[in-house]
Amino acid sequence: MKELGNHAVSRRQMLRGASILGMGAGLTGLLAACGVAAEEKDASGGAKTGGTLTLAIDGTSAVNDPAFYTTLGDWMAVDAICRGLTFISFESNEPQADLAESWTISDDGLVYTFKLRQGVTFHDGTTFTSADVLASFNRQFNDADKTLPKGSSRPLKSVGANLAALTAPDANTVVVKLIKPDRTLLGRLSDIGARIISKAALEKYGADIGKNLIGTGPFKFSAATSGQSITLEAFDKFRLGKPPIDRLVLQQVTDPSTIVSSLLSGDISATQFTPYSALEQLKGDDAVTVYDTPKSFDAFMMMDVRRIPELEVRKAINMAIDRQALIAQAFFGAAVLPDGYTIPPNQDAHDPSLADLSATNVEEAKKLIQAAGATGRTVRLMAASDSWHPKAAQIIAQNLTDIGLKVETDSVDPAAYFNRLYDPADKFHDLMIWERNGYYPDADDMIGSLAKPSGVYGEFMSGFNTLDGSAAYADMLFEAKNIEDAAARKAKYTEIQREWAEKYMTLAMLVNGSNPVVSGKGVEGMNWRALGNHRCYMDNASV
Amino acid sequence: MSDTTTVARSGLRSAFAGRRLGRGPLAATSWLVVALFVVIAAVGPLFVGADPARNTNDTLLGLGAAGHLLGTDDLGRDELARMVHGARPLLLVSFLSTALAALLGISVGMIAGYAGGRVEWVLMRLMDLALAFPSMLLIILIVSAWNPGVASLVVGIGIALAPGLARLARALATREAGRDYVMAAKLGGTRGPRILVQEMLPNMAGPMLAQVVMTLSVAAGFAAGLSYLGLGIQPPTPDWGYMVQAGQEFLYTAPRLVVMPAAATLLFVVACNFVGDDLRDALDPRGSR
Repeated sequence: MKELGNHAVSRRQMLRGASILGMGAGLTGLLAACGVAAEEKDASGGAKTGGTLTLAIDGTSAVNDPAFYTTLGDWMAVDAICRGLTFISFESNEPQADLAESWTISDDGLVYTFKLRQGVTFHDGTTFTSADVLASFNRQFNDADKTLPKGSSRPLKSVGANLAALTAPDANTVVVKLIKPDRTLLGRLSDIGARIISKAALEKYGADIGKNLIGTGPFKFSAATSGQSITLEAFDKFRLGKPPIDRLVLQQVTDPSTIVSSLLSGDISATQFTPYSALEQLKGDDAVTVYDTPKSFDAFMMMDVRRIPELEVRKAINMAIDRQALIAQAFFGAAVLPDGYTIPPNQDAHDPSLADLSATNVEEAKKLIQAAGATGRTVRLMAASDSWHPKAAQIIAQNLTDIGLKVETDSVDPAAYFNRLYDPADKFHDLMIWERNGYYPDADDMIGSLAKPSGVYGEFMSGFNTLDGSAAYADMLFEAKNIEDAAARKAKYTEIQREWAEKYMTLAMLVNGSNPVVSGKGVEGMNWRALGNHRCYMDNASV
Repeated sequence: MSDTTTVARSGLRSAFAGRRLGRGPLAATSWLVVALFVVIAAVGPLFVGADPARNTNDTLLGLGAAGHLLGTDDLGRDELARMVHGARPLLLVSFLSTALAALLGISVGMIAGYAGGRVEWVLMRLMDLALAFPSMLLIILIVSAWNPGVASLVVGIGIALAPGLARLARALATREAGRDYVMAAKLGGTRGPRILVQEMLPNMAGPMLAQVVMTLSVAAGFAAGLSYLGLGIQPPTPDWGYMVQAGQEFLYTAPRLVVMPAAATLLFVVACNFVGDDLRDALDPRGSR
C-alpha cells in the first residue's frame, strides 16, 4: 500500500472516494434507521437524586427575560429560574399561592392585596420582598423602565393598561388596584411574564438581565449559548426544597429524526417537541414513555379581511378545510376536531355545541365561491416550515384548490415567520397558519386574545379591527371574562364565539392539538401536563 | 468569411478531433445517467399518470403497493410521480443557472483578458470580491432578498458560480489575445465584440466546455441543498431537495422517502462530474491528473 503522503490523489480518485464515503454515510443512516442503535438502560428503576435532566427545546437565543419573549425554550428557562406570586400547575387549572402566601380581593373586585411569603431567597442570596415585585412588574407595565431590553415584548402590558396603582405598603405586602375588575388577574400573574426577578440583580445587570436572570425558582442560571443550550443548576435554597436532579439542560434540537434518536438513546431525557410522525413508533418502544398530553392548543388559519373582503369567501374557505385529514396526516392522531371553536377541551368554557362552526362542507363551499364570483381567484397561504405547519399548508392548499381557488403557498423559516405575521403588506398575508398555546388555561387567553380587535390577531394578522362592529368585542370579551358564575361565563363565551364566527369569520379553526410529551423510562416525577403547555416544572423530576 | 474566422471556427471541432467521448465504462455510464435524467425530466411526467401534488388518504404505503410502485408519502402522494416530476426543478435550475454563470463568467473573463489594463483589473477584482464570499452564503443572500423559487435560485446560483468561470475565461482570453489570428482580425478592422465572439470564443471552447459541465454538478449540488433548506421550489410541487427534508422525520419508519431523492441527487451530481472529466480528457488529453 502506498503511503498517502507520497501518493498524488487525483480529482477523479477523490470523487470515487467521496462516492463510496457518501454511500457509506447513507448506509450508516439506513442502519440507524433500522434501529441499530446503542442503548443503555438504568437498572435501578427507582427515583434517584443527582444527575442531569436534558430537555430538547425548539431554540435558544441565550436571552431569558420575562419581559422579552424569544423562543419557547428560553421561556421554559425563565419558568424554571423564576417563580411568580401565583402558580398554575396544569394538573389543576386554578391559580395557587406561590410567592404570594395569600391574598384578599375587595368586594368591588378592584383591589388585590397580596401577602408575600417570607424567608424566600433569590439565587443571588438576597431576600424576596415587595420591592422585588414592584421592580419586576414595573418592567411589564412601564415601557420606559430602564431595565427593559430593546424590542421587549412585555407579555403583561395589557394588565398594566388596566392598572390604577401598584403599591407596597410594607416589605411583605403588595397592593394592585385596577381600573376595572379582572377575574383573570390571578391566572395572569402565574404567567411567565409575571415572574419575579431580584431587584438587586435588575439594578446590577439592567437590560442585560436576560443573560443573568436571578429568580427564586428551583433552578439557577449557569450558562447559555445561543443556538445550542441553556444550563441550569439545582438551587439548594429553593423554598420547596432542592430538586432531585443536579442539573437541568435545555438543549436546542430542531431536526425531527435527531429528537427521536436522542430520546431512544437517552441523550434527551424528555421533550414536548416530539415529531408527531414518530409517536406510534415511540409508543411501541420500551425505552421511552409517551404521555397522553391534553389537546390544549389551537391550530388555526387566520384570514386577512383586507385581502379577502367577502365574508362568503372566508366562510367557504373555512368550510373547505378537511380537518380529519389534518388530524391524520399532519398530527398523526395527536389532535381532535375543534368542537368548541377556539376554546380547547381542557378548559371550562369549552362548548361542543359550537362544532358546526368548524364543519367541513365542500359542496356548500363551492357554491359560496361561485356565488361570490371568486372562482379562479388566487389566494396566498403562508406557514412556518417546522412541525405540523407545512403539512397543514399543503392539505389546505389542496382543499382550497378543490373549491375553485388557486393557491400559492410559502413555507417560511420559523425564525422569520412571526415578523411576517406582523406585516399586513406581506405578499402571502391572505391566509396564515398559526397556533396559540394558552399562557394560562382560561378562555380569556384564547378567544379573549383571538377576537380582540387590537393586537397581533385583530389588528396585524386579520385586520378584524377594520370591520364594522369589531370595536364592541373588546368590551364584550372583558365583560365575559369577569362573569363570576362559570356556567354563565361559558354561555357568554359561546354566544360571542358564534356571533364572531358567523358575522366575520376571520379565523378558521383547524384542530385542537397537543404538544406530545415523551420521556426516557428513567425520568420520574416530571409535570408532563405542564410540559405539554410548554411549561417547565421540573422541581420533582429525577433521572 | 475571412481566413482567420475559418481557422477560429474550427477550434471546437479540432479540439475533439480524433478523440471520442465516453471511453471507458465509468464515462459511458455517466453520460448515460445524465442523458437518462434529462429524458426523465423532459418526458417522464407524460408517462406517469398520478398527480404528484394530490393528497390522498393512502399515506405511507410501502414499495410495491397496489397502484404505487414506489409507495406513497406522508400525505398519500404517489412517490413515483413525485420522483419523476421532482427531477424537473433540479435539472432546470442546474442547467439554467449554469448557463447564466457561463454567460456572465465567460463574458467578463473574455472582456478582461482581451482588454487588459484597468478594465481587466477592475473586472477581476470584482470577481475576486464575489469569490471572497462563501458561495452558499451569497446564494442564500440573493434568494432571501427575492421570493424562493426557480428564478431566484437560477440567479443566485448563476451569480455565485460565475467568478470561477470568469477566471478561466480570462486566462484563456489573455493567451488567445496574443495569437496571430487575433492580431490579423484586428488589423483587418474587425471590431472587438466580433473578435471575442467569432474569433476567440471558438478557440477557448474546449476547456471552457469541460469547466462548464463541471460547474453543472456544483450547481446541482447547490440547487438540491437550497431546496432542502426550503429556499427552492415551494411545496406541494415535488422537488428532490425538499423531499429529502420533508422525509427526514420518517427516517426510521419510511427511510425510502429520504433515500430515493437523496440517491437520485447524488447520482446526478456525481455523473455530471465524471462527464466533465470525460469532456476534459477528450478535449485536453495532455492533462494528467
